Amino acid sequence: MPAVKKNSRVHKEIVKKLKEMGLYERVMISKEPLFPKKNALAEERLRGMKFIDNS
Amino acid sequence: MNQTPYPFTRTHNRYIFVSKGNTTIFKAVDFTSMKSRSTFNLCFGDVDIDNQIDDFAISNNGDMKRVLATVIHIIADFLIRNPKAIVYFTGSTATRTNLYQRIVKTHYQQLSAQFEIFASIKSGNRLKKVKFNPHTGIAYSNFFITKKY
Repeated sequence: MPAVKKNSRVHKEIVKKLKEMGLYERVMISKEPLFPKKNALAEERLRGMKFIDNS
Repeated sequence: MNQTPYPFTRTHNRYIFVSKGNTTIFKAVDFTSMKSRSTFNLCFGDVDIDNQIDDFAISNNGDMKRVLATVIHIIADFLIRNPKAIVYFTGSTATRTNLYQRIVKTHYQQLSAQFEIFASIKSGNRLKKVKFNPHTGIAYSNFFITKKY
């Protein structure tokens, strides 16, 4: 199933609710990561690691 | 997994959907470019009613299978749009990583029909990248998904 269209009821309802929650800019407009802690964790997990490709 | 996914919307490399279980919870899946530019970290979490974005929440909303089905459809949509991307994910804790491994193992047949799935085994400061083996007893530390051709 692909993402819904921007003019769909689902998209409009999500946008409306996010605006009510005061999160529209942060979630739908900003390109800043939503989950910086998880990104930091992921980078840390892989930092300095040497990959041996056995696939 | 024959669950019907929740409908989801997309902006940039971010997907939003609404989990309608015991309560209504806004969920976000964010694919963030990592230092290795073809690799995108899959981050998943709640956009909750208290105006917080909680990346370590355990919702217990009673619809885990449907949420999971939705995330799988989102990964597929992302990889169609970014066919050379490698989607990376790991658990925030060892317990969560084990949970992800069990989920991939349980749904391996369906997932492997759409995706190439790799994992890594930690050995000192090295990560041995291997094809995901659903029958292994080894605990994987990281997971990688690419589009299957």
